[in-house]
Amino acid sequence: MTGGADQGGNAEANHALLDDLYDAREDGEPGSEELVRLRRLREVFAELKATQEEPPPAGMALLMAAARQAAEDRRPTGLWARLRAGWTAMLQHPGIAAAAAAVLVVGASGYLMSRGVGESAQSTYSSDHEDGHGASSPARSMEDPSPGTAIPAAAAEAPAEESIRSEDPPAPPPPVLEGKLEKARDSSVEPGERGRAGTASRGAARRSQDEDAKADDAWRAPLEIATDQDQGGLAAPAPTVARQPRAAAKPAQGAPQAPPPRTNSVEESVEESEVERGAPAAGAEDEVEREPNVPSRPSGPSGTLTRSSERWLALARTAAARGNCDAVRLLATRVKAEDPAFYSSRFLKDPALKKCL
Amino acid sequence: MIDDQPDEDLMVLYQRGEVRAFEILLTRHRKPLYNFILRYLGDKETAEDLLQEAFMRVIKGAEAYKRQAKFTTWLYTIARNLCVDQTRRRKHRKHASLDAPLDVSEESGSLLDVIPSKEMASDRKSVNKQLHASMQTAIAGLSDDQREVFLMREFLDMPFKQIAEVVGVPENTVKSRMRYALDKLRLELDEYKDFAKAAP
Repeated sequence: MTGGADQGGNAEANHALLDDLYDAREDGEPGSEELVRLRRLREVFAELKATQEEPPPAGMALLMAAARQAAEDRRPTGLWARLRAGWTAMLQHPGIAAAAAAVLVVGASGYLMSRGVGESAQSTYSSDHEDGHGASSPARSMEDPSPGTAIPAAAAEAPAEESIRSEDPPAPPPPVLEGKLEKARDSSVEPGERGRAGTASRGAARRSQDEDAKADDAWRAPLEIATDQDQGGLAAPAPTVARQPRAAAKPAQGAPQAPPPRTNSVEESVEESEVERGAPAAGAEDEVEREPNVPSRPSGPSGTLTRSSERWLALARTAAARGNCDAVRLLATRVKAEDPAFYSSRFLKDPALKKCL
Repeated sequence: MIDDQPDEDLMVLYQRGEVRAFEILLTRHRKPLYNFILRYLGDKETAEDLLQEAFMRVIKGAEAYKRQAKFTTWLYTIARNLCVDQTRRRKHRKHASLDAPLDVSEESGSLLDVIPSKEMASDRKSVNKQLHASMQTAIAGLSDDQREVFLMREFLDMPFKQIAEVVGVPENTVKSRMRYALDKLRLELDEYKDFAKAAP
């Protein structure tokens, strides 16, 4: 045992000696006598080390030829193979691999973030859309923008507009707002259904925001409805050309000023609060009108507010005309909270609404 | 500049088909590798063959090379394995004379021939020649295990850790082999230490 321990101790001492001999202590302390002897021995080796034999050059040419041939054989042929080879070689470098991973993660998360909102809205809309088939017809008519929900009677009433419409690019027909009002009126509708309808309309609204050129015109929907109610129903979407005279005629009825360009934040907040309050969904109205070219309107918070209030006023008029005072009161609460000045100056004084307020 | 890149990067470049990268690697390592093999085996012709073979294996194995691996460790592992195989083959063929340590008095020994000693004064030249021959003899007298470790540490300046990787044994074993090799060589070359000290 003692001998083994001694051997172990000797081995450690020898290893330390070698470390001293080959490590950076050459200029430092002289070390043990053994170390000095070994250093002298290394000086002898230095003589031999300095003289190195040159390998024959013929072999080099052969090796280079073989290397060239192997490189040719290895060279990827297809585009995919080349890309793969390039990536593999690059990713073998730890720094590049880390950078590539970071870029991939950031890119993927960015894509998912940008895509995620629309996707979730789309999927919510789709599920609600599917549910809507089994639901009552008013709810469905509100959610489903399929051609079947359009009212052809109104279109038949406006043949001049129809001819212009046929030249327009195909736009999704509007949902029937009547369903929305019916829903507000109908207390038998389940709150859950109402929430779904709201979500669906939000989903539809977000989709419509994606089609930004079209979405900018949703502010006209209430006006359209208010006008159409005189015709006994809702009209199919009309192009700008057809509508502009009507819009121009609006000031006579106390029509709003031209609203500012829509911002996502305002729209979303309006939609959110509608869902919370169970009010008619603005998202459905967004689908009523879709026009790519709309003249620019003044912007600003007060303008946006007025535009929004005008929408509610128009809706309230429609509801009042149909005798749906519940909806009118709901809208009144909303307008009062959002724009008290507008409420007192316009909403309260509106003769069509007086009977309900 | 591609010439200044580390071996590992050059190898990756060669993997991608950059033949110039391999040429640089070849230029960098050809000479030390050749001398390692030559000192290991003591035979010029075999050293040339094994040098070719080692680089041919690098070419063939380039596709499987991983950048994380140190190129010199890989290269010298290949070379060392070739040397070990060659030594075994010699022993098997009973070519003992090639392995046997050369007699110092035999100036015409094959190991002596591989050491050039040009442009030296005649007396110095003769002493040098004698020293080289003695050293070669002493090195050849080491066991295979000790010789490979000694050559890698002393002539290739490889750290003990890397030698352990090449040889495939623990670092302490490498150090022990080195210690034995040095002791043996000191006994053989003791008379030359003063000469080396006095050398210009």
